[in-house]
Amino acid sequence: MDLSSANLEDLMNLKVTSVSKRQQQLARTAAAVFVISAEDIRRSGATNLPDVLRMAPGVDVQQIDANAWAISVRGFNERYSNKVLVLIDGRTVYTPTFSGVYWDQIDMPLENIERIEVIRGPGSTVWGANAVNGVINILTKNSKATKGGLVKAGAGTDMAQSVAQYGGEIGGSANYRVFAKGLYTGNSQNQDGSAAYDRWSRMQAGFRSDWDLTAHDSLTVAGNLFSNGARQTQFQELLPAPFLTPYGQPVGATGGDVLSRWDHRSDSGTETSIQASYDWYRRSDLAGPEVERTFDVDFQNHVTAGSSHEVVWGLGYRVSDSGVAPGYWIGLKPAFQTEALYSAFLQDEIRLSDSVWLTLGSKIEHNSFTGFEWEPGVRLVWNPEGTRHAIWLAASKAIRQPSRVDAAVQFTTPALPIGNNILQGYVFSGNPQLKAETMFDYEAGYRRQFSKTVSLDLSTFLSFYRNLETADPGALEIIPGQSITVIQTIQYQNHAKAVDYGGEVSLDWKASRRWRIQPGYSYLHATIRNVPGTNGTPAANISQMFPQNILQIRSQVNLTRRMEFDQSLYYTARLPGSAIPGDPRLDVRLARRLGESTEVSVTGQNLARPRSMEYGTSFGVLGTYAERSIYGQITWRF
Amino acid sequence: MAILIQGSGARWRWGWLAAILLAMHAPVRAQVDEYQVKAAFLYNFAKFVDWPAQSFRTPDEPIEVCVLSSNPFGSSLEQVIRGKTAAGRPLSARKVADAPSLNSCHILFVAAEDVKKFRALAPKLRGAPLLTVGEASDFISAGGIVNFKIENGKVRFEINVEAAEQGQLRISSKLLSLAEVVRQP
Repeated sequence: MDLSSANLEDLMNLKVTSVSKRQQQLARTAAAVFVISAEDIRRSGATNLPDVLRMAPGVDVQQIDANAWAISVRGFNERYSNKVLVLIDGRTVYTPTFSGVYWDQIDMPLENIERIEVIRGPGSTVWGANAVNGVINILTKNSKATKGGLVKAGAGTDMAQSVAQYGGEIGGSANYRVFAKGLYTGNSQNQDGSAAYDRWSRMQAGFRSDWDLTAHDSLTVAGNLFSNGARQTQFQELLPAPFLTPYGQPVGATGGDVLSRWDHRSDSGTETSIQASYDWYRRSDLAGPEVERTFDVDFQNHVTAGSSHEVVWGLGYRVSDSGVAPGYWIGLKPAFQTEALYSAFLQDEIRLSDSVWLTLGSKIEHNSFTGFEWEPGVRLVWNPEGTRHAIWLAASKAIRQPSRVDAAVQFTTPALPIGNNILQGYVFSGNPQLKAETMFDYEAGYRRQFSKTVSLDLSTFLSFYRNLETADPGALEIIPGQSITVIQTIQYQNHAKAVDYGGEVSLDWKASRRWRIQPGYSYLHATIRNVPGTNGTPAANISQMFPQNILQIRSQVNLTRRMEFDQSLYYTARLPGSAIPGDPRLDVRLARRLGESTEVSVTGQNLARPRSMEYGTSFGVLGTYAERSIYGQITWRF
Repeated sequence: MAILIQGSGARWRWGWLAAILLAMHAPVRAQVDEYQVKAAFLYNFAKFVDWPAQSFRTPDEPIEVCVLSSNPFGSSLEQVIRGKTAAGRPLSARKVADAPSLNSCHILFVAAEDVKKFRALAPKLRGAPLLTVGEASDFISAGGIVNFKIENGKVRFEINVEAAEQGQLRISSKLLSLAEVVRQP
């Protein structure tokens, strides 16, 4: 087969191999990375971001009610999970109020996602505080890739959604898209089968524009606005039994963000970027109206120094203004506060030989709560040239800085009768002296491409946590009178330690031209202990927070050139003692393309059981049962 | 302006032959590197495209195949075109970095990572008898004429006939019949 004399027809029938630069980089990444592609998202049939994240092995996604989720990596999963850093186009979206994510606030049209990079384990050396157990980096498509119109409408037994989008060119060198998404999710079910009080509706509009300023410079400007209206069934967990009655609570949120990024790439390959973003929201939830405004600016520079050094360094400044209006039963003291985070990082990827790379780096930060923190890391990867396998090792330190709630929450329950002439009340308070939660983490991994159709990814970890946050009971305050009033004080302390180990394995198998199967499994073993002499609760429900076994199998079948049939099966079993039994979840999608521009699909979700509770109650939000559901959807591009 | 490939042809040809023999004995049909195939396509494009007479100074002036900035071909392009002719003209390959050095090129290949650079050059190239060939989803919209795509592991290409007409390039109907034809002014 001499290609130089092959004719056009022969050439067109030739199968080729292509390895992108990105794949090559991924092959020698010394970290547990999984990438969810745009195609995976489309074929998952998911209608919201949390359901998309289920696809990444090791990510524990659990629905609490129709509009709240617990999402984490390698444990510590609850509604206010705070050890995973979530970014959208490099903009961190955790709220400084509790250093977790309001998942209902960051949903987006899923067809605009280019890919989601999920890193299990610490990403602190580059990303800094809160990238303790993982990093979820959501990257949206360049507006060049979304030209033309898109209309999507779907409805089913449990939800309805619509997306409208249009993209085009501005002049010769710039593109834009504008979009709007509406999403409605109906009430799920209570234990007794009655309709839960947890429906959710959301409206969102946004834009992104990308400008090629010169051959070396590009500029991106993007923004979003949203308005959420939801309901939740909540209850006051600290109240004595007869007063522990659930009540319906409307939850509303409005907010938005703008982001601007300038990228410069020189002829010599040096890449420089400056990104600035502003993000705000106003939310009424557990407490009174909560407001948050964050301004963030980041500078990053990537230089290739000589033949063996790839240096990335950066500077960052983030200022947030957050608070809860005073006068409600949960408050912050002070009610409003501005805090600043200054950061710098330096990382050098050193090519020790043609097959061994060593990465050294550290982030140094200064935050308003604990002052200076540094998060060093070292990573080593062995990827012999010309082979398709790699072994990597890593050791890192990561921290979670205290949030506003940790340092300043004030929560006083009324004194209520618990017996004859005895009243009991609680005063729960934050601790401004809290230290950062710290983790020392050791990882090892193996990656192998057995053939063009089979690849394997294996990672293991051993993590030591210290200064984990606990809620410690303090002095009893007894107020004598006609009835005796007992006030129990509780304060946050750093009085727990943990040792976790486990691993994740995933396989990608293109069984035939038409069938792709991706099984994944993750195991976690966690031991949490109080510091001797203390009796605080490390967290409300420890066993519930740690998935011991997560199993998933995804399968994508091309029935014909135009028909797709996709299934996902997920199973999570928690640590012994959890109130939530392991429940399988099965999602199935059948789709057909009509012509070049239209796709029709039917998706069934939660098919394994008539109904299932995934997580249960978390932080005063009543866990509800998601019912088996089915929905149809049509997507039209023009 | 670097010369794309230099080197010992004979040794390579024997290596190539050995590789082919090995491939023939391999149980599974060997797959070929994407850029070997793309290089062979470029040679075929030279055969199935007519340039206006004024784009050559002499009857035996070679058809110059230029590669912008990054060269993903390695030595494949040189391998394919060495000793070949199209419409009686020999072919030559070279790497180019900027607009002035594009003057004598007949075919210009733009790798995916160089689309931005091409976008900046495109206004100067408008109407020039230069067959621009790319491999990025936005290459046609950047002003390119032929664009490679990979579909089901096979190389496919689209041709923007409007852009070809502007450059007075005549593309044979055979080539058009195999291409996905787009019209984008």
